[in-house]
Order: sequence, then C-alpha cells, then structure tokens
Amino acid sequence: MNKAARQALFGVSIVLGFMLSLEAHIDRSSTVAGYTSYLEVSDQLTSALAQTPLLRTAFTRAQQEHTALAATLSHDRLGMTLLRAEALRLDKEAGLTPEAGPGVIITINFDPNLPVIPGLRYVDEATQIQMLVNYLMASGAEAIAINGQRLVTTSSIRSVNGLNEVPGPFSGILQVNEVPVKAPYKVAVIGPAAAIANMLSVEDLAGQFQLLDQSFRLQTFASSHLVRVPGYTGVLPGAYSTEVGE
Amino acid sequence: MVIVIPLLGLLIGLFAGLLINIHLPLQYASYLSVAILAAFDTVFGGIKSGLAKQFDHRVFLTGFFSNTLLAALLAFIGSLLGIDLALAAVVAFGVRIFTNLGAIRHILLQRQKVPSQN
Repeated sequence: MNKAARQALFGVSIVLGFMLSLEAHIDRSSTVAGYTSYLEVSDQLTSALAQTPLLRTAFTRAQQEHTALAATLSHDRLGMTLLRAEALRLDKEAGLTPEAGPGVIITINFDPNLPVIPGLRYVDEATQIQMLVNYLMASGAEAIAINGQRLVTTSSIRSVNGLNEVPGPFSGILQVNEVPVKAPYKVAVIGPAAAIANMLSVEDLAGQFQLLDQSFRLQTFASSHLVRVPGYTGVLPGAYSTEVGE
Repeated sequence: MVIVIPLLGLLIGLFAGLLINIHLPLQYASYLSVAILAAFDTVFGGIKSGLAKQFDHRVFLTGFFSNTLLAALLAFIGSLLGIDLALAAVVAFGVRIFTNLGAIRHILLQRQKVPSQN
C-alpha cells in the first residue's frame, strides 16, 4: 500500500470516527423532537397551529376567572358583591336559575288516530326523548326543561317499565331527574328558535315520532321572554360524595 | 498495517468529535445513521482491497464521500416522500458490509494457511 493510499484510509477513518462521535452525542430519549421525518414535523406543526386558538381562548377564560376570583379575595363589600356575582354566574351555567327567552316548545303525546305498526309492542320513549334532547343541544339550545324538569349536566331521562298509564305501545310516563313525568311531554327550549325549527324539519323528527304513534307539535317563539324554563331543584352531585384530594 | 491505520484514524476522529462536542438535532439522526453505515461499507471495502493488493485511493475516496452523501440524501428524500428509503439503504449497505467482512476473513485465513503449507 503506497503513501497516498495510507493517507486516504487514515483521513477517511478520521471522518468516520468524527461521524460516530456525532451519533454518540444525539440524545435519542429526548422528547423535544420526537419525530424523524418531514411529514411528521409537518403534521405536528399543523396540529399545533389548530390547537393554538383553542388554547388561547381557554387561557383568556382562565385569566378572566382568575381575575374574578382574585377580586373576591378582598374581605370588604366589593369582594362580597363580586363573590355573589360569581356564584350567580356559576348557578346560571349549572342550570340552577330560571331562564326566559326565545325558543321553541315541543309537545309530544300518544295519538290514537295514527296507524299502529303491526307487531309494535313497546316504544322506548326515554330513548326517543334523549335523541330529541341531543338534537336540540346540537342546534344551539341553551336551556331545556321537560314538563318543568330542567335538564342539567347530571340529568337523567329513563323509561319506567311497568308504570304504563296508557294501554298499548305508549307508556305515557318517564322519569326525568328521578322524578316521574307524565305525557303529554312538553319540552321547553330556550335557544335560536329558527335554527332549532330548521333542524327539526331537516331531521324529520315529527315523522320519526309519528311513526311510533306519537303526535309532535312544534311552537316557535322568536321574540324574547316567551319561553320560560325553571331552574334545576334536584339533588346536586356532592350530596353524598366528597372530592378526594391528590 | 492495513488494519492499524483505520483503527488509529477512527480513534483520532472519535476523540476529536467528543472534544469538539457538537450536538446534532434529533431529526437528523436517521440521516447520520445511514451515512455512517455507508461510510463503514466503504471502509471495509477499502480494507478488503488493501488486503487483496487492489487498493486505489481515488476509488476509495470518491466512493466514501459519494456513498455517504447519497445515502443521507436518499434517507432525506424518503422522509419527504413518506417512504422509508433509509431502510432500503440499511439493507443494501448491510449486505455489502457482511460480504466485505467475509472477503476480509477469507483473505486473512488464506494468508495464514499459505505459510503453514510451506
């Protein structure tokens, strides 16, 4: 092997050793950059960009809450007023206060004039009403009450088997917030009346209820303070349970 | 001598790299790994040629730099296209490395065998 060959081999070996030392320096357990390709980086960037406005909104809301709570820390009349306002706001958000505003009232009842589907023995009214409530919430309903029972986040709508008020497929009774509710079911909704009415029409809710021998009557109240919804008066979570600290 | 020179160079390179303390970002790790594999392939090819008295330093140098850069470039293009081309490079260079190692082993064994026959 001549001198030039030895020099080439030596130089190349040095470069290879240098590359190996670079490899040894890389911290592969780092979570700062857990991606190995351009596509992954691009995906993560898109995801981060999409999350930014949401996080910004959440941050602004948290800041507002922090400011409100910080203001209530002063043990004077202003602090008490702010604390009461905060408590009222939370009550309103939780559905504990009566509300009034534009919206719709839907009345559902057994209609003996509608043709009975052969073989239909029992209609699960709770499932139907739950479906209706989901549609209403999706179309922007702010407050919903079924026969005076305000729906909140912990509300329940259940069928009550064996308590048939009406003979036939329609039981005529439900349990809302653990309270028995008899037909006709009057669903009072505060929210964008036109949007709710459109949604009910597009989804053909009336047709779906009529198929199961139930009448579906919709009244729209576009002006304000026409639909009234009471506040929730049932048992709140925490009556028996207590929060467990970390 | 053919084995000693690369080993010495490797140690010097390692020492220099650790002394300089350059940190490469993690996203370039896969490109560097493929480049190192290509470099190893060339070095083993060089050792084999040296032992077989066929070493040409021009072929060796051009092979080293072109293989290393092309392998890293291939891995980068693969990541752009969403195809793991680095894996193709790993397989190709892996096979070549083992072939070269086999050839080196054969040459060394042959050399030991020839004097004993005399």
